[in-house]
Amino acid sequence: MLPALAVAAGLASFSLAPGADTVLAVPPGFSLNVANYAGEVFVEGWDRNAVRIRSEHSDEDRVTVLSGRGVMMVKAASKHEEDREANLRLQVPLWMNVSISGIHTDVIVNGTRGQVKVETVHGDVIVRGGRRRIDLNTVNDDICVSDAAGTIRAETVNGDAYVWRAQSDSVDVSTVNGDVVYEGSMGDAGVYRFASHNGDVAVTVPRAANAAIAVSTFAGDFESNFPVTLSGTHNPKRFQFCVGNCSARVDLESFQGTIQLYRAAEAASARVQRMDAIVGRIVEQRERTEDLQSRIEQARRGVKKVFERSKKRHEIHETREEELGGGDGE
Amino acid sequence: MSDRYTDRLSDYVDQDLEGAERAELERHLRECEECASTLSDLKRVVARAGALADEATAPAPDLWPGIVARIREPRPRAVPIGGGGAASDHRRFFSVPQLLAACLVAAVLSGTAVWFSQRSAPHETGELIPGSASRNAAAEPASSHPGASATAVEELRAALASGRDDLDPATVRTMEESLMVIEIAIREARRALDADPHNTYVRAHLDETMRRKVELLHRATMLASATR
Repeated sequence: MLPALAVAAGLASFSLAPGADTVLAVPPGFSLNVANYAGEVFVEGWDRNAVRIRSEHSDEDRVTVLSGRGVMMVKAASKHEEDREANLRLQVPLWMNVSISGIHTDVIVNGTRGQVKVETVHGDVIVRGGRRRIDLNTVNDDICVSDAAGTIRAETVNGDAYVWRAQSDSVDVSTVNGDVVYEGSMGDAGVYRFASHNGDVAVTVPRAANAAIAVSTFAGDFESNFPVTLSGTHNPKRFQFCVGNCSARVDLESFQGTIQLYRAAEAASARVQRMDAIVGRIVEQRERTEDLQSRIEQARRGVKKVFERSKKRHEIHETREEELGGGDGE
Repeated sequence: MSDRYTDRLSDYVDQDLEGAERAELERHLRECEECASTLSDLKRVVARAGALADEATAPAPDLWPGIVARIREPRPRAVPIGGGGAASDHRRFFSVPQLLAACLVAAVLSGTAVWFSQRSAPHETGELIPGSASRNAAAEPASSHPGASATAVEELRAALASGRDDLDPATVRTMEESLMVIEIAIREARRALDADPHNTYVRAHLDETMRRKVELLHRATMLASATR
């Protein structure tokens, strides 16, 4: 059972105790900002106009909720040390725009339908869902986006970036020292760019795609599992070709990695199936944690019942003793 | 009527009772089967809840342990586009030793200045890759006003240096390693441009990588100032 509902429409500010579980009603149009220096932020969409916040943090740290003027802000103000983690679990309305920032912070956003913005330094970013605009940035880890729609921007420096089952006309995914993988839509009016300096760029072209594909590398290679006919000059490191009527634009760049092109099959590729399984496990793990917390709550209620039963037994026992004692005295 | 013993069982389990109070309760427990049974129930439930709590609050495992190995797709066959034979694995990820070695290279900083001086040379001011408007826009800060950008880079570096002590060591390490990754990429792109000055892809790539460097420095500086 959920705790009591508070209203977040007016200006409000309060702190959450460690282990807190709070639900705040939010009117449509509210957005959520989360700042967590170290730890994890797990955000999940749900079908209620309310935000549920659960926080695990130490007694010495503080998690504050500020609400007003169309924004709810959850800020974990720990001492700025990486081992001082706060783990935040949030359930948010499906429509809510979410912005999350952190330093040593892993971020998982699951099943939302609003905009998603994530900025972290040392942490993985996993987004399943999201609409309109998805803007993800990490410095030293991987980015993973699936089932998103709208404009997608994903950028890392020292990590891989994977995007799959995206429905988007505007995608820009890049890294310096890692791989880029894309297996999503290519709309006729779309503009797509996938780039790496040091890693491979692997892109799957949908069967019905119409795109002009530009390949650029300096010391890398190009591989394709379907035949392509080059147009224009035949520079082995920089060339273009068309699939269908050339309407979309796709730029594939890797300074010294391999650019790999795949033609989409009927079913999702084995890679996507594996990635789905991994992300599914990660999300399930978080949900199982919540299940465990609910079982702990049940155990606590069990303790209470044990106490109540015991008290009743004692009351009966003492009443009998009094009666017996009273009888002796008469 | 209140049950003074039952109310204290929880404190007893938590070892919060001391001295006479504890001795009195233990005496009562030896005599009262009901309380002994309640205590036993309580200990069992607490142990179970404790185990669950340990499981629930265990540190989250790294999100992507070995993910690269697990999702690696069979590579497509090489298409012969003048590439010269079968595809070789050009992937050369920067390793930690490489990064450490690179840290020792004093030329890292001067690389930026050299690049900017190259960028300001007349023959280097050509168009970026045609038809890539978004990239041109993205590269704007680094390429359009090289002098100003060089100053910005130096200012950001100086700000970062002064705020270095305010950041935790792991963040500094991450930022420095990432900066080094970008610096190496810049040097490689610069060498490539030396070898092929008319390569519009390499020039755009250099612009893009410089933009990343400026953004990273900017972010590091913001972090340093935010923690003060």
